[in-house]
Amino acid sequence: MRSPLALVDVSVLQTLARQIVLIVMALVLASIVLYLMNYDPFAILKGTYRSIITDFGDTIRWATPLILAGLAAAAAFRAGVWNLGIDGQLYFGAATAAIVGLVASDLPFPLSIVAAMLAGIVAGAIWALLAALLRVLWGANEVVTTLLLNFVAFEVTDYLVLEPFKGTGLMAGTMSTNRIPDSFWLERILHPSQANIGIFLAFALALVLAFVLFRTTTGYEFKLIRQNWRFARHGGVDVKQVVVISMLISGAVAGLVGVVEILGVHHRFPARFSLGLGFDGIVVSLLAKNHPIGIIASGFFFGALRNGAMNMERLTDVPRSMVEVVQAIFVLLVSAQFAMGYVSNLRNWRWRRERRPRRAHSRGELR
Amino acid sequence: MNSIVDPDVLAAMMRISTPIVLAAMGGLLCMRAAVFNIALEGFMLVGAFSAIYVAHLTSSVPIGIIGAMAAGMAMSAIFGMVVLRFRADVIIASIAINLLALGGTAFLLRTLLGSSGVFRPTGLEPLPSFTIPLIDDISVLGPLLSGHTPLVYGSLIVVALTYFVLFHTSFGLAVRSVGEAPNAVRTAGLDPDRIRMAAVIWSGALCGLAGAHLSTGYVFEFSENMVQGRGYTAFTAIVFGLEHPIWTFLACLLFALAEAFGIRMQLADIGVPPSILNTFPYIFAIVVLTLGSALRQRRLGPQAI
Repeated sequence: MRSPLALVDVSVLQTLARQIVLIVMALVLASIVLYLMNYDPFAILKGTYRSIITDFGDTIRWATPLILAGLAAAAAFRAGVWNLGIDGQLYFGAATAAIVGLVASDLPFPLSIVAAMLAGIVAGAIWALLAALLRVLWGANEVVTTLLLNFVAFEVTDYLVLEPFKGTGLMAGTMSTNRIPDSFWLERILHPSQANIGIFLAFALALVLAFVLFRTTTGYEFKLIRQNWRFARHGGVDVKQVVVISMLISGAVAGLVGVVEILGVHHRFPARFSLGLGFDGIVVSLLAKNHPIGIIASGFFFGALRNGAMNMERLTDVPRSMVEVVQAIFVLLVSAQFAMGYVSNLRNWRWRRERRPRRAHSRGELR
Repeated sequence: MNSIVDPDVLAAMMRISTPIVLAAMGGLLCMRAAVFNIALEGFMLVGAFSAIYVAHLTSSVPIGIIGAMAAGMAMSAIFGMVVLRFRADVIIASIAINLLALGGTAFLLRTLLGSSGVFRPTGLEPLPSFTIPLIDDISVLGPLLSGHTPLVYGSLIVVALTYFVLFHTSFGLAVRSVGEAPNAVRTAGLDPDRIRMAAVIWSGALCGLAGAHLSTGYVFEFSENMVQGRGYTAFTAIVFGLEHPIWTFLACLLFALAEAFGIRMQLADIGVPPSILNTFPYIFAIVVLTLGSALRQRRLGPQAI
């Protein structure tokens, strides 16, 4: 279905409108909460406004990992696979990159970054592969295994920071490794913010993922499996192999999130440096309906929101965890497809909405 | 090594198992009604916060526990609404609930209690622990059954109750039927979603209780994200326990035993770093889940992919 202008798909515009309505609803609900708790109800807007107008660099700093984590989520969700272990994969990627930086500290400049990135990507992919193999070989539900593997990853990286790679000198008391040499650092842009060239990597990766998903056989197989894996299998798709591939891609990108955070921002591995970035990625991907190009936009939006949260805390003493609440409300609204009927029926929105047909209940029966 | 195998480990196992058992019994009813509820984690976190907040306000731990149950039920009602009324994907809705619990409790911790990270109220009277006269003297049964707080005994009662409700009441029959043949339930004139909603809210109440045990059961402390995956562990126990109350209960005990051993080994200082020991319960849960799934697959053929 094309619009009269034949420039943009109508469904794309509809999706966009729907998602924007949901975001606005989430922000309004959160503002009501703020108002009820005697805070400035416009605090979130003020913080976000500031993060776009005067503090754009740090918005990019946050958009970078959010876009990448969103891509990691999308790679799995597009195949109907639940990778809820992005956090764990990210931690292994980050720790591995830092370890490469510490152990192979005399690698020359471009090679150093390539080595750290490859190592981190492989580490993330291996951690995801674990859950994928448990799934395809023995049918262990990946929702649960990936969630549990997160906690294993947190503890193991804690151990790395506490024992073999414990920081010395200034870092000794901080639960962190030592700094990695500056030949490993990603170049900063937009000084004095922490934004770095990782953002271009995120853009490039979004394009690559879009190509894989929409222009290759593998991408098509992802879609088939998500829609109906039994049908896909009858059609000759090696379902198990594709599930493993999607988890590998997802884990590799998740590992890269960690690498970019270490090489671009922290320059060392601080224990538990980013709790929840993986789940934020899921939120980013949901806003973009798992579309790689859309993820760039939604990553920027949530980057501004998150950076805005920091500003908000400074400006209005609203705790920054409010932004997590906004995200959660948004995901609830998205999952409930709350505004769907209203937005897609804009022309006849006054009509009484028909009750959607009741379909057999989802996951429990499916799995 | 004598200090590792110790009656205290059994007592610790009972204490540690309580929240997992409570959450698992709630989740079990949901699973039976075909609601794949991994929001247990979020319900528990909300319960833990509400317990300590209400207890702090009223200076009474029992009222705090009631508050925790109420908060857990409120949270589960939101979850039930979104999943059952608005047909949300269960897993995404669970993620949302868990995020909401995480962000919401951190937010309220700052705004209501004025502390970030950890909150430790003082001047609260801990729950009494009951010593059962005769059993207390028996070597293994003593630490297992005697000297615990009411919540520990409560969890045992809940297991029996879940068993009874599930297999010996018409509500239990309805729950089981909803999971296996929702259309048959509809034909019988019942509303499947209403039954599912009841199961979800029941799980919210139990998870609230579980959270209360974590934050007010022994010491009074709430820290951000203090549930630490116990909701997921409970879920694993349900899957491994074949959605049967008794087997699920035993699976919970097994997980708790693993954790109790881990703590014991940390205290005994046998040279394994504590972080590595901490991974033990999670890895154990993953292995057990995989074993269970493999066995089930062997019996029933591939369930999915």
